[in-house]
This record gives sequence, structure tokens and C-alpha cells, in this order.
Amino acid sequence: VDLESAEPATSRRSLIATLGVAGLAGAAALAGARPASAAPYSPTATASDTALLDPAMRLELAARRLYLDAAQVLGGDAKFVAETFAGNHMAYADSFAAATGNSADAIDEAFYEENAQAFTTSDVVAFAEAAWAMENSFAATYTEMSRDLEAVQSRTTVAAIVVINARMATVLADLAGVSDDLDLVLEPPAEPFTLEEVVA
Amino acid sequence: VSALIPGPGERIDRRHVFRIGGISVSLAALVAACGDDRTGDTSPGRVGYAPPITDPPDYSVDDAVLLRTASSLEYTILYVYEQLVAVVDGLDPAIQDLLARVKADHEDIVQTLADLTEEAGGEPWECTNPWMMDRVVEPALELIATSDDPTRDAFNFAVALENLAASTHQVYAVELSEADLRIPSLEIATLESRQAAAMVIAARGPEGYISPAVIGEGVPTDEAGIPEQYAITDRFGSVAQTEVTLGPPDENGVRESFTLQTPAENSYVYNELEPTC
Repeated sequence: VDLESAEPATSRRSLIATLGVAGLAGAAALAGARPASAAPYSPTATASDTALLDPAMRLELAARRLYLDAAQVLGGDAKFVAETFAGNHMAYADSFAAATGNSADAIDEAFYEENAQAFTTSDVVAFAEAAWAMENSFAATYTEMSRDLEAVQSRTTVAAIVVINARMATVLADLAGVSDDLDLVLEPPAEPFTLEEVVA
Repeated sequence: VSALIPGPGERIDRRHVFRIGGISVSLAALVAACGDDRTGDTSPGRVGYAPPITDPPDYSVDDAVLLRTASSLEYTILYVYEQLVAVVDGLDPAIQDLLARVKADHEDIVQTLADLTEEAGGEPWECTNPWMMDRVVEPALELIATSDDPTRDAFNFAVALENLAASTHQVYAVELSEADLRIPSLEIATLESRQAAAMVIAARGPEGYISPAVIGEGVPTDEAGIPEQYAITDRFGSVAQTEVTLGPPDENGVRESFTLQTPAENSYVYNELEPTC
């Protein structure tokens, strides 16, 4: 047996094994560094869009938590509305996460704290009024934001959300008992959120 | 080939027949395909009767075309509301007030769209959409007039048109090239979404708030087998085509359905089109 002739083969095997282990370790390290809920595909938003969609995503997550709080204490139609609208806002946060490539895991705590009391009520009318104002503000915020969004995909997503914000507000107006006031239902007063201030 | 031909005294069996037949057919096909004198229609064959296919006009599509098309949709809706008044009676006063308000809002929208069309360098369009009128609106109105429940059908058609208008403006809020045109389109989409939702809620109350489709369940039908309407039909504003079922059932209990879709090349109001009203 020529032991010397086996030496280069052993080296190649060692090299391949070493590279393989290094590659696996590198992949594991990258996977560990990446947020668990990050979108698995390339972001479509520009840097400028991301600066707008990131705070909006945190607002959406706060809105979701507010509705989930409300669903804990409400019953009947109002409970179903709160649960469904919580799901809607989670979907919107996810869509922004997908667009920006950032994880949908940080809520806007200040916004949540500011509104928590209004949503944690078993009074259907009080809940509906608070949620109605919030949905109209979301609609106004996204309408303004649409002017500044650069990527077509960003504008498409936001447009698809605004129209549902409007429909949710219309449902909430009925829950609040003001559906006979057509001005309130169809042309509600709404102040857009100032995203930078909310995030700060 | 000669190897396939049996010699004297050899029997011709079935295998020989298949081989010679197959080669003959293949050669014939080859000769036919090589011919250069073939004439006639080269389009795919059609079975049965179908109307001839008309290609959409080869005109350019700019912001003015989209806005003229949006105007045509608004005028179409206004026309439908005027026609439905004659068909529907006994409406709740609250619903009558809502419909009057919705109609007034559409009149405001056509003015807004006319201003935007001029801003985009186009000629405002003040007529209904010819393509929609021929293929959807007039046949639908005929069916509603003869329906077993005209009020139900009028309601379903009105909601479907409001949803269509909202979807159309939602699309244009992205497609228009200038932000100054896109934002008003998004505002119109928002208003028409509210209108559609308010109409459903006025007619159905809390039962009409949220479609089960939003949480992944099937959409129920009414006692006549017609899908129920909802204020919120999806988690995101849908621009997909929808169906509306109208008119009396035939002898098999089947009612006619119309597909509604946001305007495309075949229904655009191009700048070259002359007014139809």
C-alpha cells in the first residue's frame, strides 16, 4: 500500500469538509442574524418609501393590538368586527414588511398607549367612535402618503388599503349609531397621522 | 420500403399492413406539409357559432384616456340610477335619502373628472361608456325590469356598480402618471367605497358588515340562490372582476350573470372617440 499517494486525497477531503462546515456555519449565522418574521423575498419599496412605510407598519401593529384589546371585552357584532379588523391591520403590517423587507415585530407604543383606554371598553358606541376616528385617520394618512411614494408596488398596496379603511369606517359609523348622518358617513372629518411624531 | 414488401410466396400479415399503411400516411403528410400553394384562413378552427372577434383599436392610452373612461363610468352609473327609479318602489326613506346623496356625489365626481381631464390635456367625456352600455347595462336593465324581485336586483346591480367604480378609481390612483391626478382618483375611490358599504349596511344592517370571504369562508346566498352583498368584501381593495346575478330564473332555475371588470383596452374612451350622446 502506497501511503504517500493517499496524502493528497486526504487533504482534498479535509479541505472540502472544512469548507462545508464553514459554509453551514455561515448560513446558520446569517439565519440567526435575520429576524424570524422577515419577508422571504426582495423588498419592492425604495429607501424613501421605506421611511414612510416603516412607521406606518408600526402604527398598523398598534391598531391591531387595540382591536384585539377591544375584542376581549366586546360581544356580538362588535366583537366580530374588532377581531376581523385586527386581522386586517395585521395583514397591512405584513404587506408593509414585505415591501420594505423589515420585520413586522415592533409596534408604535406611544400610539397604542394614547388610544388603549378608548378601545378597552365594553361600550360599543364608545369603541366604535374611537375606531371610526382611527380608520378615517388611516385613510387620510395613506391618501397623503400616496403622493410621495415612489414605487408603483408601494402605491398599489396603499391604494388597496385606503379603500378598506374607508369601508371599515363606514361599518364603525353604523355601530356608533350615526349612519343616518350622511355627511359623517361619506365625508368624515379626518386628521392624518404625522408619522414622524408618532414614531418619536 | 422494399424490405417491407413480401417476396413471392410470403404471406402478408397484419404487421405488414400496419407498416406499409403507416409509412404511406407519413409520406403523404410530409408531402402535403411541404406544399407552398396552401391558401385560406390560418386562424384556429372554431366549432359552432361565435360572433367575429374584433381587435381593440390601436390608439394610445394616456392620462386623459383614463380620466375620460372614469367619467364614462360615472355617467353610466348616473344613467342606471335614473332607470332604476322607475323599477323600484317602496324603498325605506333612509335608503331613498342615501341614494339621493350618492347620486349627487356622482354628479360632483363627473365635474371633478372633467376638470382633471382638461388638466391632463384632454377633452372631457360627458357620455356613458358605449362598451359597457351595450354589453352589460342595457341587458341588465331589461332583466331587472322583468325580474321576480326587481328591488333585490336593482340593489345588487347598484352595489356592484359602486364597487366597480371604486375599483376603477383605485387602479387609476396608481396608473395615472401625475400625482396631482392620482390623489383625487384615490379620494374618489375612497368615497365610492364608503358609498357601496353604506348602501349594503342600509339594506342589510349588521348582517351585511363583513363578508365571510374575508376570514376565508364561503359567501352565503339568499333564498333565491343569489350571493349576499357585504360592506367589506376583502381585506384589501380588490380590482378583480366580479359577477352580478340578475333577472328571473329560466325553466331550470338558472339566472343570468354578468361579469363586471375594470375598464381595459376594449372599453377605454380613447381621445379619438367621438361623443355618443
